[in-house]
Formats: sequence, structure tokens, C-alpha cells
Amino acid sequence: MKILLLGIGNLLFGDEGIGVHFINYIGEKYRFEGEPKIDLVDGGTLAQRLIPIIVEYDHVIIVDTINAPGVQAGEVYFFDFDAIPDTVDWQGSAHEVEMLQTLNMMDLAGDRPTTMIMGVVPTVIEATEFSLSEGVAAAVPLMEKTLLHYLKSMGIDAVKKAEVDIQAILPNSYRVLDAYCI
Amino acid sequence: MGNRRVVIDPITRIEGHLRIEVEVDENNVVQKAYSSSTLWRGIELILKGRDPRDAGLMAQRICGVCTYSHYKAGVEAVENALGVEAPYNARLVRSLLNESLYMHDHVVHFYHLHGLDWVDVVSALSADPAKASKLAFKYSDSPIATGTDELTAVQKRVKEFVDKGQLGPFANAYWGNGTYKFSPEQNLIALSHYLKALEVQRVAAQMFAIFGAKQPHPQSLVVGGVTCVRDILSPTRLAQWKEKYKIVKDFIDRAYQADIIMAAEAYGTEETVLGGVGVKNFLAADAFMLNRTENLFQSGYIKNGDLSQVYDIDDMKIEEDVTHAWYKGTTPLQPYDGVTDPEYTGFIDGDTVNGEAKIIDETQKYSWVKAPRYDGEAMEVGPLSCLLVNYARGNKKVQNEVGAFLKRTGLPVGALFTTLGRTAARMLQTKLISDNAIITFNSLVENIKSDDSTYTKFEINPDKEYTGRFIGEVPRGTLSHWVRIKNGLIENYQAVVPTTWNAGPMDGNGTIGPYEASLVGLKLEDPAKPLEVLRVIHSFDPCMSCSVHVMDMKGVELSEFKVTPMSSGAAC
Repeated sequence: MKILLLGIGNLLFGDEGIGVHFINYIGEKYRFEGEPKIDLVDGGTLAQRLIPIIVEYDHVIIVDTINAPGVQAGEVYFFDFDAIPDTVDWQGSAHEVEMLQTLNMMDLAGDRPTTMIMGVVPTVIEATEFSLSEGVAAAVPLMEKTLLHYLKSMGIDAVKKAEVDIQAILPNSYRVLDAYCI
Repeated sequence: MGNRRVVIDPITRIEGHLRIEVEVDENNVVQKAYSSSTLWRGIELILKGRDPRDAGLMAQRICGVCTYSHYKAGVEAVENALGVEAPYNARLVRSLLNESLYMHDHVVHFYHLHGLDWVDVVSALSADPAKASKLAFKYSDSPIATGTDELTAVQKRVKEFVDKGQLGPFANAYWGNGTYKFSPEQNLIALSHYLKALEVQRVAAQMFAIFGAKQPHPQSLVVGGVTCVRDILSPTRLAQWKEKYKIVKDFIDRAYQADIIMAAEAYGTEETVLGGVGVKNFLAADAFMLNRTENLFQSGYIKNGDLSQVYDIDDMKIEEDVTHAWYKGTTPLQPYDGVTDPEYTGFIDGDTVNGEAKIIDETQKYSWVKAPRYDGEAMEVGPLSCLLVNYARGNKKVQNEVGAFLKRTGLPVGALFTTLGRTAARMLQTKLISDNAIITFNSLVENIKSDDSTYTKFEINPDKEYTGRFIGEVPRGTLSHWVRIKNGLIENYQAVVPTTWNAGPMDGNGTIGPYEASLVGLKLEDPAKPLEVLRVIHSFDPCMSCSVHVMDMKGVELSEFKVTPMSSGAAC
């Protein structure tokens, strides 16, 4: 059994990069013990081009920014992709070939792994800089706690290897090496 | 009755965000068209003041598709500035990576983004699989994924998917539009290839990763060379590349090529795909090193569709105009001196076929995309430009491939200057690349027997000022990156990307770009279902180059999934 922790976003655009920054932060701070094995991957904004990577896993946890009616900046959501109602209308979103459609395309091909989604609501996605808004940075401990608790339920222990400040790793996020190589 | 405005926003099945507005007359013929990228793109700003050795790594984040294209462009622009030449092995590896990228990218574009403009999935569900299986031999001597059993299975699988009510990737098409021309059986063949392509694209991504170190976000290029030394020197890795290459090439030969021949036959008399080249100037750069003396494609430009004369490119004649783009200023600037200073003015209230709405004010600024010009003229870039420039140059490989296609389909050379021609050109370019990538590969294998160098040392003198550029071909067309280095740091950086050449707004002289010009004269069957517009615009392979990525869960009540400090321990 293999688990993929996939960070999505464009780290050039402030809060937009939280998915990537977050997995880099987790990777810097913890090492993982137990079964199943977990890999951390910076998926950038690749959407359907991530299919070849995702299919290698039994279980994927996607960390991304998220938007829906009535949600507030900095709020964190965590759910099984299968729990999204069939009526979900993501046509007309600004990001046409994106993660949700990618997962849908994998359903069509019949090989989507179990998929959990961790989403945080962004504020600043227009500034061209390596930074996070206060609200989103403040959500990180909650995202972290939720993730670690979930991994524990899967049999994975996160052992702290270093104290890490997410703000401090932002400027170098673009050169962090992923765990994943084909 | 005056013209009526049709707003299509967003254009679906593309990478990024694009808005098209057209004005149609009483016969639904497009009189004017406006193209607008509505997402801010400010990559240039984040590179200022950075170490030039990082330009490639940062530039690759511009885009969610062509990470490698911008990575390579960033590295090679800096090499050009510093006067560094990477060793032969390194240049071959970069070429191999580019070849892998094209083979991946064009297949994905045709099948998963553009294909549904030609293929009516609903119609495929009523096809006779046995008849379709036989028909497939008309377009290929050894068709792939078209056995009767396989086609029956495809039909069943897609039907179940559609019946669930989740159209997913098939939504936002305009099923049943009268300009779909495939028979149910032809639709089924193409649909089966759509699914097969989902599998094959994985192999293509793996092929890329062998020398790219990883995918996404390759890491194996540095200023001065490449770092994938052990991969190059490993017979196992080389053999893996060849294995995967064969699988992808096989699909290109037996499915992609066959489907375009089928499309040429079915759509050869469909008027709405036989126009669509409004700007008849085409520009292309050198690409794909095969060995020390030969590139697969050569650079140049042609004007007014005249294939009898090709001109050499003079870098300094490239400029970007922002008269109608959301940036300050009106003077066209050469990219070395380019400025990216935002000035957003938004939309205005207006009438559309769907009532009152916010619309583009074409007399003002209306897009985040700048308008690149060559010697003051709009140019189309992309696979069609590459083929036309090389055809005109007398490139034998291109002439033979294009000639064979025209002969097989019975189309005249003039058919290349159309939407159908643009889509066919992408396949022909992919075919040429897949046929010739093995030459690059063999050159590498031959050279490493006696030469293992992969890196050239260099220095950056902080007291010197450097300027350099990369101009090359990437899947969407001609890409250039321009860098000015001062005090050892990047002082100015500009990326002139293929989509800006094609999608840019009107310039200060009132000259419109390829997207806008390609739509004028197009007749829409039903302005409420503008499939014809999508087909024309998709044929360019739009990519708005600044990928912002937010999961947009419209219509979903998310509150039950909200995590709070109280609930986080018990979540799920």
C-alpha cells in the first residue's frame, strides 16, 4: 500500500502556492514511520498531467486551495472525493482542466485511487511573490493536525525531525526536491 | 439590425483562462472578435533581483503544462547572456527532453482538449462496433484499439459514465451541433483512441522523466549543462527510454495520424474549418538538434502566405505592444527593455445575445496578454507556422511528410491555411518529431562512447552587464526569454510566449492578432452554442501561461466538511 501526499498550486502567486508550501513544510518537519509508505510530491499546476503519478498509488491526499459558495478565507476542509455530490458543477470554473476534472478523467479510465482532499480557502492569489497571507498561514497548524491525525488512522506515525517555520521555507520552495522520481 | 455580441467566458478545455467575444451580424457571421486573458500574469516581476542561475527553476513555474519549456528557456537565455555553450551531450539531452515533451503534449492536446470539437461522444454511443472496427482499416494499415470487442467495451464504459450524470471531461461540448461531421462509427473509433491516449500519455510522461530527473518540475538542467549524468551513462536507463519511445510512437503512427486522416476526409468540405487563418504571417524558430550539423526544423518567417520566400529573424525586430493590454504605456518595447507594469481597467456594461452583461471595451485596454509584433506585424506561431516556414525553406523531411499527407487526403496545399490545416499540422509535427527523435537518441549513444562531458564551467562577473535571450520552439509555438544581468543579479526579465503571439489584443496601429483575425467571417450555426468558435480557438492550443489553480466547487455545500480546531482530531 502506497500513499501519495500531493501539493497543488502555483507558488509564484501568494496563497495560491499553499498546497506546495504545505507539503514542503511537512517534508522538512517530519519523517514517517510505519506502513503504508508515503511519498510527498509537489504537483504544481499540472492537473491531468499528474495522472501518471497518481495512478502509481493506492491512496492520494490532495492539498489545494479551494473555493465554494459561502466559504471564508483561511477555512480548512477535509473530505473524501467520493463524498462530493454528483450534482457538483465545476464547469465554468476559471481552471478548466484542473484537479477535479483530472480525478473525473481517472474515473473514466477506471483507475483513480481513493482520494482525500484537503482544501484551504485563499485570499491573496494575485501578488507575484513567495508569501502567504496571515489568514492562510494561520490555517497551517490546523491543516497539519488534521493531516497527522488522518495519517495515524492509516497506520503512519509522523516523527518530528526539525522545528520548521513555514514562512522561512517559502522563498526556497521552488527548488525543493520532491521525493518522487520515475 | 446591428451586430450582436456573443461572450464566451471561459473558453473551456484549455490551460488557463481565456475570454472570447465576437460580434455577429443578422446572419450569425462574425464581424469582429476580441480575445482577452483575464488572469494577471506577472512572472517577470518575481525574477527581478534573483540569481540568474535560478532563472530556469523559477520560470518553469510560469506554466502548468510547459514547465520544461520555460525551464530550458530560462537556463539557455542565461547561457546566451554569459556566453556559455553547454557540451554536445547536454544539448542532445535537452533536445531529447523537448522531443518527449512534444510527443506527450500534442497527443494530450488533440485527444483531451481539442478532440471533442471534432468528435461527438453522444453519437459514438449509437455506433455499430463491428462496422467501426472494419472502417478503422481505411485510415491505418494496422489500427490500434479498434477491435470489435474493444470498441464494444468502450461504448459500454462511456455509456455507464454518462448515465451516472457526471459528464466530467465530456461536459461543455455542444453535442449534436450540425457541424460535427464524423459518422457514429468514426466517432467511436476516435473515442476509443481518446481512452487509449489517457494510457499512452503516462508512458510519454515517464519517457520524459528518464532524463528530466523527475516530472513534474524537471530538475536536470543547470546553466552550463545537465546533471542527469548517471542516467545518460546507464544502459538500463537508455533502454527504458527506447522502450517507452516505441510505445508512444506506435500510438502516434497508428491512432493520431489515422484519426487526422479520417478528420481530413470527413471535414474536408465543412466550411467552418476551412477558414481560420486571418493573419497570414508565420514565424518559427530552430528546434530539435539531431546531431552536430542538423536540426529537424529551421527558423524564419513568411509573409502574406507566400511560400516562395522565407526571411531570417532579426531578434531586435521583436517588440511587445500594450496599447490594449492592461499595462502602463503605449510605446512598443523590445523585450530586453520590456516593462510589466499593471494597469487594470476592467470591463464595461453592454448588450449581449444573453442580455445585459459586462463586456470588453475594445477602445480601451482589454487583456492581460501583451501583443508581440515582428517588424510591426502580427505573426502566427505554432506547429502550422513551423511546418509552413520549413516547407518554404525546402526542408526535405517536412516537404515529404506534408506532401504525403496531402496526397493521401487529396487536399491542396492551400488546405494547410485553415483551422483543419492547423490541427493537421500539429499531428504532422508530432509525426516528424517521433520519427526523428531516435536520431537524437542515437547521436547521444554514439557520443558518450568517447565523451562524457555534460557541464561547461562559467563565471558571472558582478562588474559586467550581460544581455541574452533564448528563442526556440515549444509545443505551442515560438517562445523567447530575454534577460538582462547586472551586479550579478537579474535586472530585467521578459518572457514572450507563444500564446501571446497568437492571443494578443489589437495593437496601437489597430492591427489584430491571429485569434481575433481567425474568427472574422466565421458563420455560427447557433450563437448560443458556439462550437465553431471553440474549434477555431482550440486549434491554436491556447495556454494562458500563468496557471493559477483553485479547486472551484461551484454548487457544493462544503460546510459539512469543514475542519475546526475542535473537530480536527475526529475528522473523517
